[in-house]
Amino acid sequence: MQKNKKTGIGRIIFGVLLLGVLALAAVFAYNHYALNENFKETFYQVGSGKIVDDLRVIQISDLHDNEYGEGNEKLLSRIGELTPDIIMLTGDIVDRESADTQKAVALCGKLAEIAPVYYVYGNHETIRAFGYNDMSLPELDQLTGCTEETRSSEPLHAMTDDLKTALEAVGVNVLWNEYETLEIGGTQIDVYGVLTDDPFAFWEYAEDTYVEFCDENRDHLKLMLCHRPYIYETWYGGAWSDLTMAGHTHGGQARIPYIGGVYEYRNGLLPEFGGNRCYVAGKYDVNGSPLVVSTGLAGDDWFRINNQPELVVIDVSRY
Amino acid sequence: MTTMILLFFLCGVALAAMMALLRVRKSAGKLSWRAARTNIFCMPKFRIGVALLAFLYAAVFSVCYIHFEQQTASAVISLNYDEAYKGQNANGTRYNMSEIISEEVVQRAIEKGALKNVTAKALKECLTVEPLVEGSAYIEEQYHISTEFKVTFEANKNTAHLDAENVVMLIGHAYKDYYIDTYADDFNVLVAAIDDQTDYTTMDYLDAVEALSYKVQRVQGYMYELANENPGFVSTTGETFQSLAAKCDNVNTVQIGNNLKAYLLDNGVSRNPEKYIDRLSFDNNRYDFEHQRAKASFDVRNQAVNMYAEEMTRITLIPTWDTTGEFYMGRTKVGVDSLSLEASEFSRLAADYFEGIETNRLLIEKMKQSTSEGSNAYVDQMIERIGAEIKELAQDAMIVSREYSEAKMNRCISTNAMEHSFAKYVILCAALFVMFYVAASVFVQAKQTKKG
Repeated sequence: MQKNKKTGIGRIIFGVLLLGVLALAAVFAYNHYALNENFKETFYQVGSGKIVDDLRVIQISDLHDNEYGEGNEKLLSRIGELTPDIIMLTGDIVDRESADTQKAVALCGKLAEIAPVYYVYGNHETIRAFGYNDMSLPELDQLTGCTEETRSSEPLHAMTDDLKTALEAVGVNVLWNEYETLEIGGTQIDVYGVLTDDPFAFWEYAEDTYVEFCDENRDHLKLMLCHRPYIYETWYGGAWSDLTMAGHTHGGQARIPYIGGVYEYRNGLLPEFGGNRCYVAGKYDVNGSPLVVSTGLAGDDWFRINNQPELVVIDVSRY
Repeated sequence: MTTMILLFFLCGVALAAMMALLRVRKSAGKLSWRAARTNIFCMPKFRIGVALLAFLYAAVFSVCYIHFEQQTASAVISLNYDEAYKGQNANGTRYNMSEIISEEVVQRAIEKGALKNVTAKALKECLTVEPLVEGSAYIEEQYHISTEFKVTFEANKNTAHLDAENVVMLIGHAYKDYYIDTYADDFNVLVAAIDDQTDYTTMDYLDAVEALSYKVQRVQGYMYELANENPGFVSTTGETFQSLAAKCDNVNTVQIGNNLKAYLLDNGVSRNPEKYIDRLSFDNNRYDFEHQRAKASFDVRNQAVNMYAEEMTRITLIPTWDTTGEFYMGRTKVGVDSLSLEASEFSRLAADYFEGIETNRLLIEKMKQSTSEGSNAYVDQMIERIGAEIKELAQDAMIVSREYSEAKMNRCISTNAMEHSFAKYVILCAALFVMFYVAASVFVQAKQTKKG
């Protein structure tokens, strides 16, 4: 009798486990074959009184050398159809494991033929360029030879990198804690790119140029690019820019309806659930200004469930 | 479509249940509640095979359900401006929710999203719009003016390739653009003044005066219109609608009237005096005729007033109530009032025509005496300066108007996607799994009972 009961419980547990495994297999198969092989488009609309004509910004993030079609043909053709005014690449376009950067440089060159392209480094680019993943304060001090008294963005501007040189050669603007001004349809736009996106390192190595970016030409539309969104989670001093774009989080890898991302590198498990209000995926209001965090375009090499790779399209209008 | 899928799978469960009941009947000899209950509640063990079958059934349901659910999406469009609560557009006209899925909006959405292989007509067929909260038109307590509308996209075979959530979001964004273009931003008057390419050198000077005056009055009128709408609005430049209207008035009265026009009249300046004198003489003939007609009309009314004055000045009082329900005696208008008003109007008209005739006569005299002919550098310069000043005023007015429009229409319409109910999906899946498992278990149990 005892044995029979045990056998019954064992069968139930086995059955439940088997069903669970089957369910997971079904979900994986669906994500692998149906979702992660293609990208979706996510449209946002933000308002700014500083623009003359409507402006379309396309954000590409965390591609990790992934390809959509031969030579990213599908991605390029879709971007062309969406007629962007400006294209923003928010880091991790190349992957640290890739043998070379040719794929990314070729893509950027073709993007530059469509619209002005701005590029900020993500942690995968910084590992390749400087050997550091986090670009933390001690790492940056070591890299630049700065001390507490001499930290500024200047030593970063003096540095060079093969990828940066190659990107600039194909007409891409690579921003390392600096900003550039451009004019599109009568609208003056300042684009700031963050290289030191560690919350502690940012203020030490970017404050000089960032303050200038904010204070000069206040009538210009201010766009900010930053690979990791962590600096926005730790600063409550006011609006950062008119529109900020970030990536890195991959949307928390797997997304559960109502709960959000499952795991994020810095914020751990369930970063959007309960009291956790981390910036993982979507559009957020940060001190009154919009922050868009892309889930990225990395495909199936990166563990993704219910989290289709996305191409972000942001329309900036006057209202 | 998801409802159809659910019904289809429920039918499957019902079929399984019927087969189980038939089996129970066969094993027990007859179908009774007792026999069914025994088979349902006496399932001694967890049957993995049956559970797998039920799982498979639920999995097939999931695939179908998710597939069709992804072809459906909804978004809530919220109107966040003051007039929305009165069922009006921002410009006071009546709000019409069907514009959300009008062909123009749908076409804009297609262009915005670069949607391929779909026409506005085909896409429109898949869209519906309804108020998020519907009141009742028959019960006063349930009157409700909705400011939130739910747009739903349900794909058909022509639109199955589109991302449903993107479609509803694009419709929301396109509607906002359309709404602002149609009901908020109407700067045509100012744009016309700014882009004005009138060539004043082809006009005679006094005609140029009229044209300049008309132009500045239009800007002034627009400013008064906005001042009526919001008298307290102050722009970041410190300008108000009233201050700009006053500047327009200053240009019209001082620059155009007192300086330019007075100079032209005093000096009889004209590009082509002979031709202009002919025009003025013709005008005077016309004015003279109109003057005489107005004078005759005045005389007739005046005579009538004199004849009937005594009879008509009696006041007729009518008992009535005011808006607060208070009783009062209302005074009716008597005929003499009307005749007097008409008489004074004709008197004013006659005076105006006479003034016109006298001004023209004076001008003709001045032009005859004047030696000026062709272009006058001083006047040309003055016209150019006034024209530039009006343009500048229109530009200032545009800045203030835009700022006002932005303040008024800021986030006037917002769109939020409605997520599919995950809980509903889980409950449906679990319910189907359990129902199928029970039906199949009963079937197996009954089969074993029969064997036993």
